Amino acid sequence: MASNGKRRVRDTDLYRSVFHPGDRFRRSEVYKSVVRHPPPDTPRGRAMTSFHNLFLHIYPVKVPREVVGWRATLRLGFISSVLFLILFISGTYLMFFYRPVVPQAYLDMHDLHADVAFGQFIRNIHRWSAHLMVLVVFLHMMRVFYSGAYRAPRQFNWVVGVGLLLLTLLLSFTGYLLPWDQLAFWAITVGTNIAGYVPLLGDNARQVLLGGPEVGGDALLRFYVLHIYVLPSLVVLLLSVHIWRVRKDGFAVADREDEAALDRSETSPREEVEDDARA
Amino acid sequence: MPEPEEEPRYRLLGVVPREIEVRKKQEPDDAVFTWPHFLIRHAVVAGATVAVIFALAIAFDAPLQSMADANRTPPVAKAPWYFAGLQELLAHVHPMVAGILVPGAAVAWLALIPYLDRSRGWRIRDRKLLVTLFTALAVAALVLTLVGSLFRGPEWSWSWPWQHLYLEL
Ligand code: HEM
Repeated sequence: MASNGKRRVRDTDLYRSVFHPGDRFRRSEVYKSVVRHPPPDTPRGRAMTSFHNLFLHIYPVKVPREVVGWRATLRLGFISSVLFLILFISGTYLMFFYRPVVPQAYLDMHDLHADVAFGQFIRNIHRWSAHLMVLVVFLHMMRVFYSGAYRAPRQFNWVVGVGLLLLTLLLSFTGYLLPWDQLAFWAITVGTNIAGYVPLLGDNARQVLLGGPEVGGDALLRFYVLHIYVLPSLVVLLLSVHIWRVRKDGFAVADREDEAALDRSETSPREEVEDDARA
Repeated sequence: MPEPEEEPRYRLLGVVPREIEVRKKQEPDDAVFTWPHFLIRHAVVAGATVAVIFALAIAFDAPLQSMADANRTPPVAKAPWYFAGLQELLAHVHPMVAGILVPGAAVAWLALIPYLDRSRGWRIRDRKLLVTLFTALAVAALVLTLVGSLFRGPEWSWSWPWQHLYLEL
């Protein structure tokens, strides 16, 4: 009878609200209307996690076991995406306090540090994420190259990746000018001097980039528009294609396992097919 | 009613390509559910990334120097670190080559790698030439970047980083 008594205690509202505080919430209409599928501890529930959620839809319901381990990709592409998301969010906050005008841009940076709640902190987050993203995207490319993951059928996704690399560099570079301090001004000045050597166009190319003969207010506005609108939109576009392709082609390691399994098996599939044909 | 034919007749329905055989061999049990196995790991990595960024943001402040002034040239004007390699190259060869030709060719070659790679397998030993070439270029880029960002001082003169570091992030 003791066990019966125990069960009765466990069934009481008091016990449940103390030891399973989420239960009541999970039984509520609000929770069910948002999550819409059985708890993800049944195979069906787990599959529904991917089926019924727009954001998780980019994940397949199941993944090959070797994809789960970190060695498959070193997670570098994923980390790049996370950094991009951090940059997107922190950048939005910074936009509320920044005007791309000379000399207001610089004064806004000062106010950001002095007067804005978490201003300096969010700026730090934005800056260090940007540097780290350039680094991590490079390392991601290295990983893809050395593991041969660009080979068929993933050739085009590598090309998309090169596009993303260039966009990442350009995003970082255009953002570098925005604080409008000495560091920003001279880094962009030497960086854009190179554009003056573009064949045929020469100084015209530099002028189009800067909106004038030198780095000034027009350049600041141009870099701002590129930085907060044009380049991020392109990244979102290419990144959608990039991750969609990974979803469709699967991770390259999964193919490896198939190949290895084939190497190990005594009869090659072709022989098997021929055997079937002869039988 | 037509007589049933005595001789069976055969018809080619299709040729099964090798790939489909491969698919058949894959054991369905070798896959695990994305939730929780894969998603939890992604959540951990995402959390760790945020934690690292937060730690950096607490420990180091982003630089803010005095207001931009076209008339005050700093001792050395450096491009951001990821372009410091190009800037270093610029100090040695004609700007047209260092600034346009080399980066242009590098990007073009990079984009074409999958189509130039005619090797049989994905392993490093199957792709010796390409891997050697890629590694050589990566090392060259790394050395140029390190020299440009750490070892250059006023007027792009040589400077030991432990004596004075002319690098701003
Ligand atoms: C903004 C920059 C980039 C982001 C956010 C990104 C994101 C990703 C993600 C999330 C994956 C899934 C595997 C993983 O987590 O590593 C992936 C795979 C891949 N990426 Fe990127 N990527 C970027 C840049 C690049 C670059 C520069 C290249 C090469 C030039 C590239 C080529 C590839 C290829 C070929 C795959 C498939 C690899 C496989 O199946 O193992 N990506 N990328």
